[in-house]
Amino acid sequence: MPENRKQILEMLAEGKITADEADKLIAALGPETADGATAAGGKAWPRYLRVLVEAEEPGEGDSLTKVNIRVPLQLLRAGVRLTSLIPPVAREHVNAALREQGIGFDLNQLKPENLEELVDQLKDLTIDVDQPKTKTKVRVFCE
Amino acid sequence: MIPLFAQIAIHHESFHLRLWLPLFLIWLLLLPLVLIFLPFVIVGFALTGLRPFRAIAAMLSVLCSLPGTSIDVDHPSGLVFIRIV
Repeated sequence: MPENRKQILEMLAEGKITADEADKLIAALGPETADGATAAGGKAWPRYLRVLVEAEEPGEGDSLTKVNIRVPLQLLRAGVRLTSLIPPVAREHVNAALREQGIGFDLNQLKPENLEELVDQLKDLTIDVDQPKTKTKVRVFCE
Repeated sequence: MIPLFAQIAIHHESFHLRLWLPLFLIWLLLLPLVLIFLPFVIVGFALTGLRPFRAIAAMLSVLCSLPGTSIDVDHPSGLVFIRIV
């Protein structure tokens, strides 16, 4: 049990704070606890981004290609820090290329401060693509 | 923590390869080279307008985030498996 959480529970046991105050304090500690569970819901905090692909090879009968990729979310965080290494001129080129592809994303907006919010949103992300014609299945999720 | 081992497996028809790479040995071997080239790297970053220590910290951060990465490709003609521990 994390030290801060333990202190709050001890204060509650000693009657120094009320249950409501203890609840607010524990919530303010943040979602991550020592065992990787969220303080509020007990749901495990995701650590990995998984990409699963199953595709049937054309013209090879029942042969199935499977791709299973697991990337630590920590690597995502580190990758965002790497964007600071991209020279401004190159960033503009990347932004222009993205705009050409119809992706209105600005690399300059990608900052470590915004990253936690992004990762927080990723924990509920699940993308399922099932294409019956080519018998291809793609699944992207966090675990 | 920096990656300590890498497990690589490749199976393709009659070719089979299964390796456990002790990355910590590679880091130890690279360490003197890194120390020798570090001043040049710092100057190089400074010349390109990048903050050298921030750049090095970002690269170290990527390196330390690698453990847990796993790539597994299973194709009818072969199999590739890479895992970083």
